[in-house]
Amino acid sequence: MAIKTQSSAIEGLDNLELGGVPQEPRARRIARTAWAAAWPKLLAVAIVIVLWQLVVATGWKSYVLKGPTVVFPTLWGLMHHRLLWQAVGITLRRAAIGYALALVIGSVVGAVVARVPPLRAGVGSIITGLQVMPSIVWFPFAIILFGLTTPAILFVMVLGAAPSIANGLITGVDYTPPLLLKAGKTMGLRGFNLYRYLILPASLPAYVAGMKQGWAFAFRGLMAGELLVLIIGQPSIGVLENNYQDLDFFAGATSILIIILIIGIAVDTLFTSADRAVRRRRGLLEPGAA
Amino acid sequence: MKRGLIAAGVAAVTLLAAGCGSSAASSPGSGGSSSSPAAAAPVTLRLGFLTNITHATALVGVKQGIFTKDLGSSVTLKLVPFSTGTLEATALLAGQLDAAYVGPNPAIKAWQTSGGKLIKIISGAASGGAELVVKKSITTAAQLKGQSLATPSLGNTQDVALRYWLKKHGLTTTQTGGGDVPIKPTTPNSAAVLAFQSGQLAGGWEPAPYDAEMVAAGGHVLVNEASLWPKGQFVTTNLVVTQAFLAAHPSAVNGLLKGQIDANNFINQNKTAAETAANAELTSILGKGLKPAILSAAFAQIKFTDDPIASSLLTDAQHAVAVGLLTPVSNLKGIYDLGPLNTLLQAAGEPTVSS
Repeated sequence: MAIKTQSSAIEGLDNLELGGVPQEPRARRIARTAWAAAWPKLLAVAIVIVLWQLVVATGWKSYVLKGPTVVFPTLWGLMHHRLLWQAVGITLRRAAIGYALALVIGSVVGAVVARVPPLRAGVGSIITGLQVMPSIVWFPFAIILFGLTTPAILFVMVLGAAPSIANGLITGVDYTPPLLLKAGKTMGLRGFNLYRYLILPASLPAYVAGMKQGWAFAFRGLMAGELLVLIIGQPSIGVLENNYQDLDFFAGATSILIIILIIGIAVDTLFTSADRAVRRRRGLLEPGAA
Repeated sequence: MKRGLIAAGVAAVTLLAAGCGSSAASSPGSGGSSSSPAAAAPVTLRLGFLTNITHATALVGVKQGIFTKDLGSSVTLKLVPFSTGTLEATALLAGQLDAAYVGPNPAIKAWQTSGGKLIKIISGAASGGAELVVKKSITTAAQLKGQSLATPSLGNTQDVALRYWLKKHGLTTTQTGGGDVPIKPTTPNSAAVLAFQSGQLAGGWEPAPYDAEMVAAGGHVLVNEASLWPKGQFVTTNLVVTQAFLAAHPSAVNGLLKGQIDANNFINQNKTAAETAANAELTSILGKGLKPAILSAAFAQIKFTDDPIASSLLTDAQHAVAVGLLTPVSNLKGIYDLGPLNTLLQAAGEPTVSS
């Protein structure tokens, strides 16, 4: 018994570096966190709706600009059709596949480039150059390569997102404290293990930031692609928006914008909570704080 | 501090929006009061048209300086070319155009979306000039099953025509390219020709000259739309103006109508010169002209007439309703305002038209 207490006290020593254990009851903490996360967003939404209604009330472009009182019922109506969910499904599936590809390619390239100096000098600047290229300029090229197909869209998503992810990882590796590296090597970490147990965890914050930025680029590429690469028989979010514009169904087009916004916010929430988990683990955040 | 900033921001946006609203609302009103005494007050007329031979009235009228002459020095003509009528209808609805050469279905759509308040059709411009062109191996409607076909854009005149024709032949379509025959709206039309040439599409229902280009690219005509209409007459291009512009600047609209009549007369009397002029205008807009053979083939399909062939507009609307691209329209008769056109036609000793 005494021995066990002693050993857990020793275990606790190296936990000092990381965050403490939350004291509050779990359910209450979750509710508090949820509310703290939700109210600024709800307020922002309310402000946007009020401004929107004000602009509509002035009668500006009244044939095309539809107010919240028209758009929300339209959105509700669209949500009762299979077509919308089919489109959201296709878009999200492309998002997942494209982003997963970008994650793998970006991580591998980032890891290799970060640790091989000659590559670093040569490829590093190319990666940054790729990162600042607007994804839309790739589409003519992608359409030539792949035709009007899903791979054309995925290609552009990967080109947009992978550089950000690679750059995030490279930055993270750069900022790994040399002391840690030395300690790791002294303890016999080499090659893949050095990456797996030391460099990767140490570069996690910058890596997660890069992944988040990569998602933003991937999603932009996806949306641009869906508006440009209209694939027969695959109703995506972009195709619906295009169609509603062609049909002068402006409340519908506005509804699609809201759906794109919701998808964006939902994914951002995922990344924010991942980022928060990293920070909490490192004691950079009050346990249980928002 | 922070709250004050937000409040200031709200106030600024509100003022801005209110400013836009009032200026938009007041401009037709102020113009209306000044139009009769001062016809020479400078006016800008924003005229939309498509870069098709079915809109040759606009192309020739501009190139030959007919509009500039008939509109007079007080009217500045600002030309806005479009690749498809649906974009043009959106631009009309968004207040970016005062007048437009536009196909029947986008005109109906703009009429309906605005509750009959936005536009009036003041003249016809062209009849005919659309065909379904497919690869040579397809010779019957039934063979189209599973074949992808192009149209200029979802809900435009040719798109409605194709969907309705397929429906009559028992073939289904959907707005997202599903059904028996996947329809792929392709903008610009030249992209549809390229997709046909490279085998990605089996054909398309396109306005002239793009039907002729598809034939030149190895296709053959499966349906000439003229064969589907009584006496082969159906409206392809209308001239519309916004009701606000019509009320505010009747003399400018009169000038535009004069230009419309003169341009069509020029085309009908000087075929070769008209073809050259239309091609020159197309070249300056698109950077690329048409081959002489395609140009002549395109012109040969089209009858340039000021008659808006009102009966075909009503049928067009019914077709659009039948294929689910339009909700039924009840007040379509009011879409025409042919009084000014008929006055001009009478003065010129030409037969008048009816709505």
